Formats: sequence, C-alpha cells, structure tokens
Amino acid sequence: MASVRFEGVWKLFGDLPAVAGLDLDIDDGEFVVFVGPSGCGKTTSLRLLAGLERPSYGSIWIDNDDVTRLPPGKRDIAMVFQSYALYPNMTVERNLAFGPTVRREDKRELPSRVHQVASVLGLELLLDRKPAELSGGQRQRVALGRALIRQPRLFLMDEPLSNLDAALRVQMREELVRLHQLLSVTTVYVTHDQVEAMTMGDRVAVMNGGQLLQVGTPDELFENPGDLFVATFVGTPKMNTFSAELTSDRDGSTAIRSLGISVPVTDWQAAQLLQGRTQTPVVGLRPSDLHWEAEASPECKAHLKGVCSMIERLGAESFASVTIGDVVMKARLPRACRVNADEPIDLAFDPADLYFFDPQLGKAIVERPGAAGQKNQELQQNATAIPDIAPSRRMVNQ
Amino acid sequence: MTIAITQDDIVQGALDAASSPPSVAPPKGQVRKDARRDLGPVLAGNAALGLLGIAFLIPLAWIIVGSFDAKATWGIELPHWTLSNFSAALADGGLRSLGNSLLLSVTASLVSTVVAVMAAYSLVRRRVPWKGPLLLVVLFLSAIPVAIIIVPVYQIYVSLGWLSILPSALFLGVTSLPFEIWLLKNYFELLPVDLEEAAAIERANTYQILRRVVLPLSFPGVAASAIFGFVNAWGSFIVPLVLISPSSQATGPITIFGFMGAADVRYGDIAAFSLMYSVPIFILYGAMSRFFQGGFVLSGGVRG
Repeated sequence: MASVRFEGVWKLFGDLPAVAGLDLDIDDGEFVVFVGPSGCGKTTSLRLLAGLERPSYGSIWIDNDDVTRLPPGKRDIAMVFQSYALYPNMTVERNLAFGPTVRREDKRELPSRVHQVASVLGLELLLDRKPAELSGGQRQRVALGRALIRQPRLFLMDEPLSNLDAALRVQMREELVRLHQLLSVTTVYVTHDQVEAMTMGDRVAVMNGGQLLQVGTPDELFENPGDLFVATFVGTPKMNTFSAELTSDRDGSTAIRSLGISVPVTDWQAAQLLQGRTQTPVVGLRPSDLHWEAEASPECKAHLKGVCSMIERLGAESFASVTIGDVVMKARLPRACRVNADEPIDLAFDPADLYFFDPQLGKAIVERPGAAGQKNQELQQNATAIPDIAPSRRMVNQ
Repeated sequence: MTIAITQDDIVQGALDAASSPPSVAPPKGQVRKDARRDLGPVLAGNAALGLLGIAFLIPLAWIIVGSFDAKATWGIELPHWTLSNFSAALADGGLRSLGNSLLLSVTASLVSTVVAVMAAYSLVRRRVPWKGPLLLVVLFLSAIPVAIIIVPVYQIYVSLGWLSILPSALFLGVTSLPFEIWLLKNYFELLPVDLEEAAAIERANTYQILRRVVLPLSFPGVAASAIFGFVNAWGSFIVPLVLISPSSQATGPITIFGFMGAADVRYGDIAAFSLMYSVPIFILYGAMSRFFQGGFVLSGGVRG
C-alpha cells in the first residue's frame, strides 16, 4: 500500500509533450482513474508511474521514495495491460507463478498462493489451460491474477476492460471494485470510458492534450466541471452547450437571453456572473436537467418550445434531439412521453441547473453550491499553469 | 423428497429457452459455378512450372541413379545395381569427414545463433545509436562473397596458427551472422513488447526475459536461424579447403573433391557420398517444416 506523487512530470516524444506538467497526489488506498480521449497522455502517465517510460522532466514518488530513475521491477507494482500480456506458451498456472518464480520467492508456498489467487478469481478449473484456450473474460482474470499474486503496494491498470463485450465489462467493473474494497491497495486505472471512470473511481483525473484538467470525486466533476471539456466529457449523453447573452433589468435582476427566451438566473449565479468579464457566456445544460414540460417540477421556470428531430427509445427512458431555433439539444424524456420525430415538444428546465463557461478560455465561471468546489479551483489553477521549461507549447495550447 | 423450484430456476429456465439458438439450416443443393473457366492460362502456368521442376530434378535423379550404378558416368543410365559405391565412398577417411562436417556445422551454427539472438534482440529492443545505418551495414555484409575475404582471413589464421576445424567453424559462423541477425530481428519485432514489459515489471532480468518469454515464443525463428547456420557450414567448400590444414580434419565437400582425380573421376563414389551427405539436410528441412506448421504460437497471449 502506498501513496503516489507526480511532481511537475513532463514526457516529450520528440517535440510533442505527451504529458505536460503533471502534478498529482494519490492517497494510500485510493482508486484513481485517469480518463480522457485517446492521445490525452493517460496511458503515458501510467507507464511513467510503472517505470516503462522515463519522464523528460519532473519526479515521481511512491510513498517517500523517489522512483523517477528506478527500473519497473524495483517499484513493487503490478500492472494489468490492455492486451493482458499473458505468456501464450505457458499454462494459466505458470502464468500466475511467473512473477514469484523469476523473483526466486519461496517455492514451497507457491502452489498454495497460486490456488488462493485462482480461487478468488474463479480460475481453479482453468489452471492447466493455455491462454489461447480461454475466453476474453477468463484471460482478463488471469491477467488480474498475475497482478494479485504479487501483493504489490500499487496496482496499475491500463484499460483492462476495453477488450471485453459490454455485459462482461459491467460485470468485471463490479468485480474490480469489489477486489479493491477487499484489498484496499492503491490503484491507478486508465480508461477512455467516462462511465467506467465515474462508476469505479474514488477520484477521477480528466486529461486532455497531455494536461491534467481536473481531478475530483465523480460527484465533483459532474457538479462542478472546471471547464467546458470536462463538462462535456463527463456524463452521457453529453452536456448541451449554447451561447447566451447576459442582461440586467432595471429592477436589478439578472437574466440570460438565449434560445429565443430570457431566463432569470438565481442570485448566486448572478453574483458570480456579474463578477466575470464576459457578457456572452457559454451555457451548459445536461440532458437529464432538460425535462418534458408535462412532468417538470415547479422549479423549472424556463420553458422552451422545439421540434423533436430524432428520438432514441431505450425502454425505461428516451433521449430526444430537439431543435430549438438553430440549436439542437439532447433531452432525457420519461417513458410516458410518446413524442415522435418531427413533432413539436415542450421542454422546461430549472435555471439553477445551468452551467456557465467563459467563451474564450472555456473555464467555468460559476461555482455551483453543494459539491466541494474550492479544491477543484486550486487544482485547476495548478494544472493549467505551464512552466517555463516547456520546450514546445504547440500541443499544450491546443 | 420434494423438489423445490425457486424463482431463480424459473427465471433461468426462461432465459435458457430464450437464448437457445434457432434451428435454421443453410439452403442445400447450391453448386459452385464458374469452376471450369479460364483453363488455358492455368495449363500454361502448370506446364512451365513442371519444366522448371524437371530441370531441378535431373541432378537429383543422377545422384540417386549413379550412387547405385557400378559403372556410373556423368550421364543418367539404367544402373548396374551395386552398393559398393557407398562402402568405397566411406573408406579412406570418408566416414571421418562426415563426422568432421558435423562438428564443423554444429559449432558454426551454435556460434552464429547465440550471437545472432543477442545481437538481434538488442537491435530490436534497446536504444542503439545509429541503429538504421548499422542494420544496413549488416545487410550489405551478408552480400559479400566469402571468396573475396578468404585470402586475408587465411593470412590472419596462418599468423595465429589457427588452420584447423574449430577456428574454421568460428569463421563460418561469422559468415552466416548477417543473414541470421536479419532473420531474427524480423522475428523479434513481431513479438508484442507488452509481454516483455510485463516480465520486466515482475522484476525479471534481461536474461530471464530472453530465456522464458522471448525464446520460447520465437522458437521457429531461432530454429530457422540455427538451421541456416548449419546448412551454410555443411555445404561450404572453399572455407574448409583453405582454412583447414590437417587432412584428418577434412570435411565432406573436400572428400568429394578428392574423388575427382587427374586421371579418372569416381562418379559412383561422388554420387553415393553426395546422397549420404544430403540426408541430414533433408532431415533438418523436414523438421523445420514441422515447426512452421505449428504456426505462430502467440495466439491468446495478447489482443488488440
């Protein structure tokens, strides 16, 4: 069990920063998920932590040891690869026993250790098989078993579920979380799937373009995304965004004008919006906060009229694309709403559910109450400050 | 005893029923058409290949016929059946020269394969400065004929007092190195690096990674490389001729050369010895084809 610290870590491939100034503390026993689109630097960050890559700048600490220059074998970590990396020439049993054997650990204990791990993962009947004779899920378990048998101070997982089918992925997701609760070994998990990140992580680190954009609990990211990228990346379907104009009435009340209507905002929103520099914020509204008017709560004071351009019925609920003026918005509709494509639909939302972003920088300009926002703001600033040592800012600034 | 049917059983039963595969068979009686079109080019191609094949078979046929012919000549004739050509070929150091060839070829193959494995692995996985140019140089080296360098090598071996079988094996091993390095390099490049990284995380050292992960997975490549080294030495004529001084260490090709005197050529002995000398090569190629039939052993290890 261990804590992890990234201190100003950069990794350059030629001129391209794959990881740009990563600062992150991971607590002992925490399950942290790195999430982001492909090429965002999440896997490189994990490989840096594993020792499979050397950072160009900065240092990496595990507990109180500077492991920046330590080879992977000496970091006391276990890693599950996206490809599973099982040795195809060895049986499951020998795959599991590979680590202890090359480390020359006590041979007498080995069979019982192998069987213990196999029983935890339900692999007892497969010990004599070779990887080619296993299903995807079984291979995944063997890869996990190879990590478990080591009893490392750190688990690293690189998209371990991405090769499984959807049903198995959900099952393994639960199993991994259960294992983590059982062993409480610090785990760093990389995925491009934000649902996986949100459901599994104690904390989620969202990366893009080599930078850590925001790190926080799933609730914090959902409630108070630090910028437009995090806001639209977290949550499915992704957040609707549209531009708006800030207006102040003669009686002092503040409203935004957009989508052909004027929406009075709450006092706490107004206070922060007026402090900001922009008069034309980008506004975000999650599909789950855009309600069918017939079932909307009394707080939904803003009303919209649109035309349903497409509807996806999932059974329990539906997702509709609704054209309002020149904006297409996604809305989550209840089962009772039987609207069809090309039919008009009335929607409503609560102004308190709106998110506001700076149109130039994309940063959030209104802090929403409820979640622990303060911490986010600090991390936000740290993460986006680009040190002078950067040899190339091309990628970073994009 | 009563059998209790629980809610779960009922649900499971329904699930099983719902997910059983449909009993639909593909339509029968459909016959492949178009099978007999374009016969002309196929026939012409096969005839050309057949002619080429016959051209290659003629020398082999001569060896087989001549080795059993008491009155063998350079032509292919109906043999006067005898086995005496074999005994004559093995007499006077003929048998010993087979042993010498074996020693020479095994040593050369061992030397070249061990070095080529290490060189190719380093070139594939390590950061080697000037790697590209280095590999090109190695490629060019494989194209240099031995005859060009044999004279200076002879001078060096004379001054070192090395004109015997084992130093010659060393030189023959070196001559097959460039090809073997390329062969193994291409093989190692196909291995997913994940496997080696996983082993490195398990604290396996380079030697353990090579022995437990890389070599078992690239066994067909290593075997092909070793066989190449063996055959290269086994069939070499000029190197043993120049670099091996004691006649007791002469190898097979030298013995065959000895059958061609100034006055007469012992065609029957040449054919019989050649036939025996070809046996190990046939066995090795047979073994190699079995390795390759086994196919690439990577399946199931990694995906994606």
